[in-house]
Amino acid sequence: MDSEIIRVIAFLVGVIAFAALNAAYLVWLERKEAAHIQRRIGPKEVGPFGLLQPMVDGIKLMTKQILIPDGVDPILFRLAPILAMIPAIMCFVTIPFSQELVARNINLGLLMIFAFASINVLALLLGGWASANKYAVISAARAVAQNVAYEIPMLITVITMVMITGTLNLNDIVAQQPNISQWYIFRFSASPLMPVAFLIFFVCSLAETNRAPFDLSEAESELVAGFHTEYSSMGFGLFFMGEYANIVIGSSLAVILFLGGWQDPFGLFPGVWWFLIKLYCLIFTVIWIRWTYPRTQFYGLLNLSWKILIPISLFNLLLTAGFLKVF
Amino acid sequence: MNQLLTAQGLGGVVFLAVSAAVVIGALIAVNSKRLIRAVTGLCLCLIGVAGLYYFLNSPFLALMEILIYVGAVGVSIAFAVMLAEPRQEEKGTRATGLGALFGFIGGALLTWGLIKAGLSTHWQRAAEKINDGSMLQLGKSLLTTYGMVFELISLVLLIAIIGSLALGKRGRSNGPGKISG
Amino acid sequence: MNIMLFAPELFLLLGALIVFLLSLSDDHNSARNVALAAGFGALILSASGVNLSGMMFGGAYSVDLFSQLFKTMITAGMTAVLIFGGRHQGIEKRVRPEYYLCLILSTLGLMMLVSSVDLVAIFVSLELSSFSLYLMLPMRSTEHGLRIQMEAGIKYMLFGVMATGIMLFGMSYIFGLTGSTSLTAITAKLPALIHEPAAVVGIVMILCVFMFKLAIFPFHFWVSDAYEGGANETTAFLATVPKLAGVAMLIRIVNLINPSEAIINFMAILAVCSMFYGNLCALRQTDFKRMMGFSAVAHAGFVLLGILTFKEAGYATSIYYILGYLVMNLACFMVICKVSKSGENVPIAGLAGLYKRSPLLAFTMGLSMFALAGIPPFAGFMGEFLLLAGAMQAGHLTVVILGALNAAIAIYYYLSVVKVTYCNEPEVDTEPIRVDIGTKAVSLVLISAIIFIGIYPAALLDMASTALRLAF
Repeated sequence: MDSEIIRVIAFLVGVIAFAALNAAYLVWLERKEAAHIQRRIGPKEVGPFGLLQPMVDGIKLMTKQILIPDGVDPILFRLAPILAMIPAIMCFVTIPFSQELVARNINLGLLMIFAFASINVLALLLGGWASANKYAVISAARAVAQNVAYEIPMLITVITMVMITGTLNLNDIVAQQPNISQWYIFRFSASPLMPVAFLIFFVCSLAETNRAPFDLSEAESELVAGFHTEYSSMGFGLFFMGEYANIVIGSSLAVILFLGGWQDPFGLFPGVWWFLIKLYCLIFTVIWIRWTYPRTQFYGLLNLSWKILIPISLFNLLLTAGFLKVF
Repeated sequence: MNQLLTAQGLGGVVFLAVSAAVVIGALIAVNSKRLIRAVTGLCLCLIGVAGLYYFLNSPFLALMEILIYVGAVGVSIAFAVMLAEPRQEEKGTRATGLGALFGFIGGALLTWGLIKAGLSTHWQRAAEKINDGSMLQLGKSLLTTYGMVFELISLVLLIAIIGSLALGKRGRSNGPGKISG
Repeated sequence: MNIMLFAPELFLLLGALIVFLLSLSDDHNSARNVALAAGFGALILSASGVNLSGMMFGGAYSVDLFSQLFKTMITAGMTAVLIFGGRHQGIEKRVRPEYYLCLILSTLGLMMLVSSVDLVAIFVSLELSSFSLYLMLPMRSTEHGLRIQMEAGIKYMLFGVMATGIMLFGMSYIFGLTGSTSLTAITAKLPALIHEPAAVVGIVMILCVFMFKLAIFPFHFWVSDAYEGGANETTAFLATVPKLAGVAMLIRIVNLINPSEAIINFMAILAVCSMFYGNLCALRQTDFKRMMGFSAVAHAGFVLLGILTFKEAGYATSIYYILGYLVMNLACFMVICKVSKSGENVPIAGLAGLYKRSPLLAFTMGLSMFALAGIPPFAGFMGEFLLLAGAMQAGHLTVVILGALNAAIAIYYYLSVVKVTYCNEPEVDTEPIRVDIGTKAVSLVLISAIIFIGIYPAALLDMASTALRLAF
């Protein structure tokens, strides 16, 4: 066997393990954080600080029976959760955790992540439709409208970034920002609106992953649980893992594009740790936002994208083009 | 078995899988009685096509195929099906009798003809490589050789959007909840 | 790059932009005026630039006498349709600005199509014109029902998309064989490859989409429903202007290859089938537009007769014939637009007593029917005669005999329209039809064109031959 193949398989296993464990421990983080924000304690019984709680939950999910309700489309119902998980894993392939720690350093990495992330919507749509449940269908419709609306400002911002970096290779993008003053979020010579671009990207990634305050497709008070209402056991589990994986991907992209990726600002630890620190700070913020802000209205959600984010990001695109031309 | 585990062998296996995805996806898209399954089949087929592009050394095209055709077109079709159609019973009509016979013969002849034409042609390898297929080359040719087409496409998109809005708006105003002013 | 080469298209584009802005309001009258001005301007610009020549956009766009001639005809057709369409009663009021936008962009697409010498450019300009046409059909006013135009729109779109798909498939073969999308490069390489089956299949597949535009036999399914379902103004456009570009592109593509027995036979069979199918079906129609649809199928068969000779003279005759066809069809659709009071379809019987209600319209209708039937000395006769003579010279005796037989069949249904117009008494409506000054002018121009084209074919044929010689 080629060493190349062994490498690929090793990374594949690693990526899947990371995605699964990550989902489990993000649930723990979410519960703990929520609890502390609400002046509770959160899980504490299983293991120290409840650290074994996600393992136990995972075992419970896996041993439960998969219920296929009457009237669902049996093929699509089974297909949807898988379709939610696979693209997420594909996206991890090209994310550089450090200069060397990347499964495949593809020249078109950024494009690849967006290509596969776009399949995710299809999974929600199929899952919602196949469930034959009106809440699920409404939720899927909302998810699509929301995703389509927020994909536009997100892609425009990414195009702006690509214009500045001149490459789609994520590792090269990170290499261009060796210290804090050169992080793209502070690169005012490229465009004075860089922090705004970061903000747009971050808001859009919140909306793309259906996180609060944009979690209208999973609004428990009106839609039970949204598109995965009818799913049980690992069907539900896969959707859940896919969702957390997408949060990680969105935050990693923000880190790579704007916050210097694995570049260490102080030189204390190797790069991979810095990447993880930055990543989990962002994820912490994502969860923090969820427990701080109330859910928006649907019209407010769409208006924010079409009337505010898209014009600003278009303006930023033109401004950046002008700056690149002049300087 | 050992050959299979080299990079080339695995590449061959992946190639076969991708080709199978194209054919199977297309068959599902054509044969399925439920519209939504047909859309899924179409998406599978398009992912397969993207894989073929990758094998043809055009990773950019492959990723764009997924981004645009699966991520945008496929989702829009599925969305439209979902909004327009109530859950349909399986009531697809199939051609029977003479129609089916002629259809089958016609389809078989067409397939045979296309396969024969493809096989009996002496395909030549291109003498020179047009360009290296990189983003830079692609961008250059999009703005020089194909500059006019590139701009023309924006007109096509404009008229498609305006037209569908005009038609869609009309359908809505005919309803009972007409708001004037 | 000489801006004058591209001036007619730019002018239309400018008009489209203004109409687009106007479509934000509901001001459909000024939208129509702008569209008309754009059409006029483009007509004048392309007519005055008829002798320009040059290549543009990296060799994807060729401006020469051939393309400029067609552009002049196309813009003239569009302007005429806009003038006699009047206030476009048949179009839903609220979407009229969008309708004009579609009309302009469709014309623009056709103009760019006749100049395109690159497979990708051909495809995209074709799509621009087709998309607009797909949209124009269902924009018909709902006053007389909703179903008919929706059916027309859907059918036209589905068949159109299918034809485009076939074309793309064919293009992929040609690209695979020659490694280039530019027609110039393909012309250089293709003759050596013509014995490859894939090359023949590819070319035939590309021809399909233009045969679809012309409604030649196996691609005619849409024609009767689209003609009947579209508003009168839309059908007037659909029946005339796209056919011009169809002929231009058929000539361009056929010119890529040397004639082979198989392709000639294939086209001859299609031509004969179209003639018989069109004429026999037209015999028993009661709706005027439907009848004209089948007549279009028959005439498309005649056009193909000129192309299948694979000679410059034959191509020139085809161009001459399609010019005559444009004028004749514009004339009779103009009458229909005026006779129809609120945009409804006009049955043939509805033309009864037209000579009392409006002598000018009745005369125009009578003349165009005579011309379409191929009665000397009008445009249709000369065209059919020259086409048959050309095919005879090329040695297609059977086809010529069948063609002549068809010309005879066709006389019956065209002349029965004339009979209804002049000999029957009006049944329902008796009040005279008001004809506005613009329409009168158009009608006079069309009448004189029908006569002129029929009497002086030499000048036009010469021009067409020169154009072909310069272009290829």
